[in-house]
Amino acid sequence: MSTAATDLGPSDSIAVKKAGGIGRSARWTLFALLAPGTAWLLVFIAVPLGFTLAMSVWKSTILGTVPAFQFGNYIEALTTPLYRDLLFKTVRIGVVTTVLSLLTSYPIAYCLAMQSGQRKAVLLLLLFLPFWTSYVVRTFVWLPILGRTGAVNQFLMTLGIIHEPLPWLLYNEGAIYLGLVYVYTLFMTLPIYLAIEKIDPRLIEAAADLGAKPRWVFLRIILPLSWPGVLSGSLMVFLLAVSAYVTPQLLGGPSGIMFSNMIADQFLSNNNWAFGAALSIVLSAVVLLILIVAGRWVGVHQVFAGGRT
Amino acid sequence: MNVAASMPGAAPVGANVPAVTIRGLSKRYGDVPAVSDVNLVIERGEFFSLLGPSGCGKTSLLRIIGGFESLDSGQVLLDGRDVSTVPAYARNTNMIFQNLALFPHMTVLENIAFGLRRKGVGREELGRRVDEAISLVRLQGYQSRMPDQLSGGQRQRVAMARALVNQPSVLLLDEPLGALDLQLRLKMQEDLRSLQRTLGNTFIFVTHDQGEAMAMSDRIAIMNQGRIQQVGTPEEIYENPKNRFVAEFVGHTNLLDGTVRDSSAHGRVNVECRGTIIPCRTETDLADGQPAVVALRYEKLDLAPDNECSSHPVIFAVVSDRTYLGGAVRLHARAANGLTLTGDITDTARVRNIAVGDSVRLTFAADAAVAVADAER
Repeated sequence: MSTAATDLGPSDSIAVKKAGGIGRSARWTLFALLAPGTAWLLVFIAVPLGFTLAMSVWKSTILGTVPAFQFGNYIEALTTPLYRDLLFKTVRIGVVTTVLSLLTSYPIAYCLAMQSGQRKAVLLLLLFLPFWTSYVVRTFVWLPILGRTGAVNQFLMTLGIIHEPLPWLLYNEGAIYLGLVYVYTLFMTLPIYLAIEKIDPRLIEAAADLGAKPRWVFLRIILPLSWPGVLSGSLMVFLLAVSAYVTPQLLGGPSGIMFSNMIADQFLSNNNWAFGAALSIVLSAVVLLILIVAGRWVGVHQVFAGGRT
Repeated sequence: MNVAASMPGAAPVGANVPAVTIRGLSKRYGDVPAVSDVNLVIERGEFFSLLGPSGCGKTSLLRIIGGFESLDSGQVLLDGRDVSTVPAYARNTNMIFQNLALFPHMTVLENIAFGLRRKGVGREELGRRVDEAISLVRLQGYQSRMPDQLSGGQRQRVAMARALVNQPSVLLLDEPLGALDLQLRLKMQEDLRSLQRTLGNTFIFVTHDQGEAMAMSDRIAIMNQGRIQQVGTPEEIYENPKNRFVAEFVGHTNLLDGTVRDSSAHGRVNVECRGTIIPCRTETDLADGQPAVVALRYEKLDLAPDNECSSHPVIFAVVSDRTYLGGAVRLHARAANGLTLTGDITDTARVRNIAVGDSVRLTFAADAAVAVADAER
């Protein structure tokens, strides 16, 4: 607003009087414009988060969760080796899933962006198609594919390559990665695709014109310019993977217990809401810390600043 | 910049080999021919323009020379070497794109050094050549700016430096001045021309602006519908258009349809247009009775002197429209036989009193009118 005031010049007395600050009516307009967004943030983010934070210092008893102010829940969460190990494992699975997802999604996004016309529309539709079904169904389909009597084992046995079912296709960390990468492909592919799509083809030609072979065009032009897409995709997949618990449980068997399973258990079966809240806060804090540290390194601000540094 | 060092000495060929030779080049997009049977020789050190209306194939031709488009048939030779199947990154050409295509994520310095880095030029030489290029285009002090922190003219100069630093044997320019306002455009035209003279590189400049092409080029190729219509110096093109399209496209021209009447004299014919006999120069072989077009530039028309009998042709006509242009007055006039003529009269003292509806006697010098064969009839 202050720039508007300067632009109007000295003839506009109101603007001059209020120059440097915000006029009364402007203040109301600003407030009105911000209100819906602020309300949304309050209702869906601040209130639940505040409530979780509050509950994490309460006490759960057999009679229910009662208000208190104590840090017993946190002490238990941070000192019990089980929870600590689970936290490390969850973060590790989140990181590995993100990396694997990036490695599979980037080529898909790149090929998609290089297509044109109807073929591109069809391929995009195919990419979206699985996501019209439920997340649980998409996870569940891997059981009849990878199970002992599943499609893969049947196929290999019919060909005579193996004589008894391979037992290691399911219920291990590999199966978790497979499931998570598959379930969240779209969240990685789409932002990268959009970022590559946005690159001016003349830049690629200019790089070639200046003597860059295709490999260098990719490394020096396409990859840096699609980096914001890579980051926002990675951010989403990492957050989703770290908080996942259905896919790991279904596909990982005994090794599929994630930190989120622990949290869910506190609320759904152990009736220890206060402890569940504390575990939630711990996970959120750790994820936030990782994002801050990793964000410094890879420039996450680009995601939010629209690719400008 | 050291002129001797930046001469395209990289090409180990004799100085008499043309920079670019194009033989029988054709290119179609689906059913649409973009470039049809183009033959062209561009000498080393020439400032050569491809001029034509949009969609005439001039940009396609440029992109084929640069290696961005494949060709369907024919050959492109750079410094005598057939590069028809050589990819863009391996050709010793550099392009200045219409939108400049500066790398938005790199500084001015990184943009300019990009080509040399890809070629693996050593650190010391790279630094020296980049510095030279930067001072050549007067961008000292802007090395660490990002492209979006520069003005239009500065971006233009970065694009030039980025291309020229590689010492290309041919520099391709795809209407790079199109986005600039008139003042800056004129300034950049001058800059480009003097840069080309200093460096002695071959420039191939694509434009739809005839004024730009005229002002800058050693030679111009006029293109239409994928074909080259005429190649020549700006003067040749302007004074001796070879066909109706060139006559119409370059400058403001009266085009009068007629029939050849007297073709006995070499280089001169009479063309009858609606009963008026117009004496013309011609470079084409025209036979009696053949349809022809007379091209008569607006500015070649004048008002005939009042009293004396002139040896010049005179056409009686009635003014149907009058436009004041500053340096001249444009008169649209119609003769009794239906012949319409437009003339830019610079004799302001005499034209001042002429109004719409007045009768005028229009005249032109004996060698002002040019007759060309009418291929379209």
